Amino acid sequence: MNRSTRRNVTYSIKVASILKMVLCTALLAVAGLSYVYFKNQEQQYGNIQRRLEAELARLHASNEVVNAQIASLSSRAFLEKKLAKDSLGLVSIANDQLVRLNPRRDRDRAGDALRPVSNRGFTTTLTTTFTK
Amino acid sequence: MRWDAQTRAVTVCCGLVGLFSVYSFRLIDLQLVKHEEYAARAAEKHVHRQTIYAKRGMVRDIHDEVLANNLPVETVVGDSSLIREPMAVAEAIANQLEVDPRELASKLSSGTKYVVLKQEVSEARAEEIRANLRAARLKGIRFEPGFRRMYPNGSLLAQVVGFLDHKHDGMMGIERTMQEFLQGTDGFRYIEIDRTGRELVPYRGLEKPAKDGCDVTLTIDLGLQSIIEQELDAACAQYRPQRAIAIMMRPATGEILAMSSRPTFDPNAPGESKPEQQKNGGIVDMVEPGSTFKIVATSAALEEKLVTPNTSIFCENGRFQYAGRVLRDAHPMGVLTVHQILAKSSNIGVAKLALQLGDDKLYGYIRKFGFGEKTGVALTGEIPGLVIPLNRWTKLEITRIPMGQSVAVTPLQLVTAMSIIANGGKLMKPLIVAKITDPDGRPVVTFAPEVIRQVVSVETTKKVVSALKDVVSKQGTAQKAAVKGFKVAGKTGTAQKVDPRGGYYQGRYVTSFVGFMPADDPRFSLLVMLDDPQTEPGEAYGGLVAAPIFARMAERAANYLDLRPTEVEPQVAGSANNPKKESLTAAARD
Repeated sequence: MNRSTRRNVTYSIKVASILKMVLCTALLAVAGLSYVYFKNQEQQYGNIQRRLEAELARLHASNEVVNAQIASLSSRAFLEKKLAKDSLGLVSIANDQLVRLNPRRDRDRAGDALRPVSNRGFTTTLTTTFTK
Repeated sequence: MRWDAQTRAVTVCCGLVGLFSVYSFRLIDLQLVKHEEYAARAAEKHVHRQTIYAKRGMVRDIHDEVLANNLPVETVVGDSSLIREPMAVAEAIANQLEVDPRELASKLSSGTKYVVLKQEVSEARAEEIRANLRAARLKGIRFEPGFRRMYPNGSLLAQVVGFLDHKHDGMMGIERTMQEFLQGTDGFRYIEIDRTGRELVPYRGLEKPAKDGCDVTLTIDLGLQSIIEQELDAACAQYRPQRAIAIMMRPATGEILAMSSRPTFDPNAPGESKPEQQKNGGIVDMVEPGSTFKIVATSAALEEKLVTPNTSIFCENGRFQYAGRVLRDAHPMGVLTVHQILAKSSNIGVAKLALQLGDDKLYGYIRKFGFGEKTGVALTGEIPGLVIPLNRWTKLEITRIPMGQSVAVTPLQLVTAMSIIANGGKLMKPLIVAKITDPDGRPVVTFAPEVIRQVVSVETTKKVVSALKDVVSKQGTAQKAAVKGFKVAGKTGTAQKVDPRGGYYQGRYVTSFVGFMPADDPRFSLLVMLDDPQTEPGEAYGGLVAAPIFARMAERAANYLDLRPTEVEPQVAGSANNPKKESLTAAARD
């Protein structure tokens, strides 16, 4: 009796529950894998950021090096030395050869009228005028 | 007890509960109770405080020409704990570092985590080393950024700009006085590193960016500075003085336009110079000013209305007995007006003016002119000079001090005092720094001209200027200071050199000329001083040595500043560009 009763018992599979468990497991797995994936991504971006920062620092440094070179090569002391060394044939203008363009006093009225000039040193307003 | 299924299940459960309880307690112990301790241990191992270096500010002249800037360099550091093959690493970098590979390998085998292999390695070299290490896949070498201070103009303005010590702190000059603004503030960042020493960027902690130093703009005009220094070099070559000093100032504002002294040095290699070369003679040297000091007593007497420019004073024919001592003029002079006393530089005349003033008033005016105290210029090492306190004056002081003996002044005090006469009686605080700007160019501090006090009235200065114009004339002592097209006002000085052992050296002088131009609307005042110039006997006078140098500097400065000539005819026949010596009367030397 008992034995026949046992034989006739059927165990139903609760598909819904299994699916729920599978889904939960899958979700947990996906969450875990995503965490790992994003962590790796973060690490990679961090490495890229580090490389870019280093590159930027190098560029800044090269810019400063170039700036320092420009300052050095365009410094008054260097240019004067270069001028003296290379004998470029430049001769300073003698004082009696300097001609001064007087500032116009009637600035508002006269447009591009020629202005009187003066030889520096002795006169302030000569009557000579410039013509091109 | 029956060992049935239920009992077994309870036992297993209890065992598991116990086991997990132990784990839980350990976890609580680790995570909560000892959290601080273990976190600190982990941080010590992996977290580093990385310094973010601030850039030192630049120094520029008034037209933004660079006087001091930075050249990036790197320090090469080895971490021997990360190096497996020291010899391979050494061979990869030894060439670039110009070091013996074996010496390098021994350093890299020392086991220490921080070994400085070489400092001040250029960026290009550092890049080559990085490439070599990458190619050979070697680790354990890192680079720390730094800078080397550069002075592109070399010795030009060296004593004013100064230089840095090995810690990058200002040692002297502007580098030192403006250290607070120039140096900036280093930042930091907490980083975590992995086992190979590389930063784990996602775990960056607290970060504070560096604050770069401010730029300092000086009142110096490098164009004028260059003129002054070239002429000073020429003068040194001609006269071989112990020291030579020139200072140019804008009288209306007190701005120093140029300042130089010889001997000098190159701030790019300060270790190769002597302290004597590094000091700024304009503020740290004091000298007896000689006759240039006569402007003080004369101005005071005129200001107190004790005399007028036309008041006649008998100059005792060159020999004046006072307080048991004889005071002499270089050349006998009879009756002179106050105007002539200054123009002809009579010692006896100016002593008699001082006697009319009295001790108290003379002392008061000396102090009002700024002597005996620091000018307050933003440079290191300034001295106040020496004015004998009134309570220690003997009877002789009142006749000696007015002619520039028994008093010691700095060249800057002297040119500042002459600027008082040039600007209508105001004592201006000398300015060397025009402004301080942040790295984005926004002004942080702007230095405005500062009037310290009104020393004498405008009317008095006009009277003194009139006499000083005559100094630079055929009647005066400094006709060689004349500049074509301009009226020059100034005063010569020839002081016997003080012997530190007491008394004065025979035949050794400090010659000077201090003046301004154009006389009626001064754009600059200028002092030229030569200490012990080597001249022909009887020629070591301010009017013969310093005045022509003044004229050459002033003429070039006028061209540079594009000053409009004020005189239709030349002031005198001789000019600065005409080196031919004119025969001066003996009286017209000083």
